[in-house]
Amino acid sequence: MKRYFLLILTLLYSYCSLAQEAFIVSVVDKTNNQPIPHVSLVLLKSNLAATTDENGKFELNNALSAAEDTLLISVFGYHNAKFATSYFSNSKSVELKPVSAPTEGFKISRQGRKRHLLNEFQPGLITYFLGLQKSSELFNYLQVAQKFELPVKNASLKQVTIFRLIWEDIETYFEDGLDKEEFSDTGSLQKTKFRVRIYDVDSITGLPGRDLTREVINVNNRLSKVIKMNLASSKVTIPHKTFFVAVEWLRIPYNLSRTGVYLDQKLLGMPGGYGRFPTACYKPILGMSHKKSSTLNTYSLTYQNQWVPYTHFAPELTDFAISAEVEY
Amino acid sequence: MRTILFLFLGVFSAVPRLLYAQSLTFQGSVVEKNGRTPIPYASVRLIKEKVSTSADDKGTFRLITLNPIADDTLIISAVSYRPVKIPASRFTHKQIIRLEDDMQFLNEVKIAARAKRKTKTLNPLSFEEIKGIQIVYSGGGTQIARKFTAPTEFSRLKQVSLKRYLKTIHPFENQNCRFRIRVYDVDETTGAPGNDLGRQVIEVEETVLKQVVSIDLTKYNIVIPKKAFFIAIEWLYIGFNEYIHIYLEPRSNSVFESDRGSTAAMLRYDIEYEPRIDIEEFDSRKDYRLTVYQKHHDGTWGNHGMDPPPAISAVITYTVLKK
Repeated sequence: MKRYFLLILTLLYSYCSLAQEAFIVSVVDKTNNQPIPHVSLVLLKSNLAATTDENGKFELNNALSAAEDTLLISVFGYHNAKFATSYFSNSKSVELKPVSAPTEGFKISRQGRKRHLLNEFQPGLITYFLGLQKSSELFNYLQVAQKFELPVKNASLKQVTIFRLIWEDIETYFEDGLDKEEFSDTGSLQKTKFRVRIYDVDSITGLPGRDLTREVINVNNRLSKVIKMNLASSKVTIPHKTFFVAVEWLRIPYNLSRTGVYLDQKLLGMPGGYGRFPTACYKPILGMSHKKSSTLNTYSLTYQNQWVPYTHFAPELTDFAISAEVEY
Repeated sequence: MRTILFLFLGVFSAVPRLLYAQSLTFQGSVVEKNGRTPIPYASVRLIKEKVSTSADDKGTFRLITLNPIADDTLIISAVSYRPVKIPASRFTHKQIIRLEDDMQFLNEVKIAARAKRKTKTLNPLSFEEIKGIQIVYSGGGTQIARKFTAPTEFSRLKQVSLKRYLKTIHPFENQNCRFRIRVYDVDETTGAPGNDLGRQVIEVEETVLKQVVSIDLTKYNIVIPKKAFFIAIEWLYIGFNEYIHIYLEPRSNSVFESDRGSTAAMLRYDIEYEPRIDIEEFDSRKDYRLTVYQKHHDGTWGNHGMDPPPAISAVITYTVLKK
């Protein structure tokens, strides 16, 4: 339970630390010096993550350089970079090297091709969700990926659909004496921005490998539980029989929300017993598919940048509420 | 951006503390001593550091600790097995822990020839909706226990019922649940639950929405040696039992100083664990002070004071001599 304490501690500390000096680090493209938006940052040893703003900038406390930790910087389309935290002793810019773009999907005859919907789910039956901090597991993942199997090679990906948690009749709750003005914009409470990644299978590990898209797929949604992404214009061709569709969280204030986790009140200097305390979590809160497959198709990317099977709901649930429409 | 700043400032100012904290992982599996049968959901606990976890259904566990304390001890326990203590320093990676069956048979009770067997429901449940007080027992500790008093000693426990709290305000209700029933005698010195009277794990799974769940315990042959005893519901902290309670949290409710002024009101998603147990009708004339106990994650029992008890009832049989 102490790890939650640390989590809380970091949040409590943030208030006291305001007086300390901060400097700015920006992440730019090595080839053209342009800022890279929404870069993911992880402190490997401390197991903490954040995402930079749209201009690739983030503010750091000067205490950072004293900490013996490693900062992992990763973002779509670039090679990962690691830095010792001691490197950041003043405002600096970090250059990332772009990865070579995937080859253009080759022309395939459209004759006799049909659309197939993979991992179909019914929105009304979804009752389990991930992305929240749980008393039994902290959600320390940068991405989660759903594995898809196809009978043939060279299929093309047309559409991806995900299901996320939305509280639709939120207004009915206002009668309980809450300040209506404070909650006037219910859309803004549930809005979310995230990224979708399409991965080829790594032929050695069987885990997600290289990106199959050429451009970042950004999703910006205010208030829908079923989010459809039309990818027909991206012309994504799946070279092998296995591919992955991943959701990448942006740990930005826009997505910030809270989950309660149980922890010992004594650790917070309060008298006895366990209480529920809010900790930060980030939208979207993704659904688990109600259908059970014969194999586990859920994977998650840890802060250490390793793909591991996501087993929190196993063996009862085996798939995320992510469906893909392909043509072959 | 401001929140990122806050988070990061927080992170880095806490880093010096984290530096001393080498994280440790204890990974292993729990099996029966004579044989290879895994013991599911055994409890694994570090005594000094007060962190615990449950093994999964295959008996494997993983306990990650961020603040290891020197000379700590691991306790591995499961119902009807003798607990095992291992010094943390001597724990080897992927160690297999063998638990010995606890042969603590209770003597069969001889029923007198002229005895008459009677059945009684203790604390029958009211099916009316409880108004006024809103307490739901939905995790927080590992178990919630309610005390019962039988008319005689050596009664037998036949059935346990509990009333689930099924009210929801949003459409994403997971109301599947898997839990365990535990039966304890009363610890004479503390008044809290004492020895486990069950010989086997009593695990219940419900996937149908029913307000009252009744479990027939006849086959477990549980004998209650004294008049007073406890029935406890043990929550399993697994994904299957998760229920998300969503609510609006005004800015002013935040416990974090850093949140005030920096972030607006937001949604709170609290994970509760099924079964969420309703309370029984509160009778202000009754003294509930020694009735409800919660088992904390550190393994200790805490008294719930005057809180209304969870809606649990028990059916027992007992014998009375004919005059």
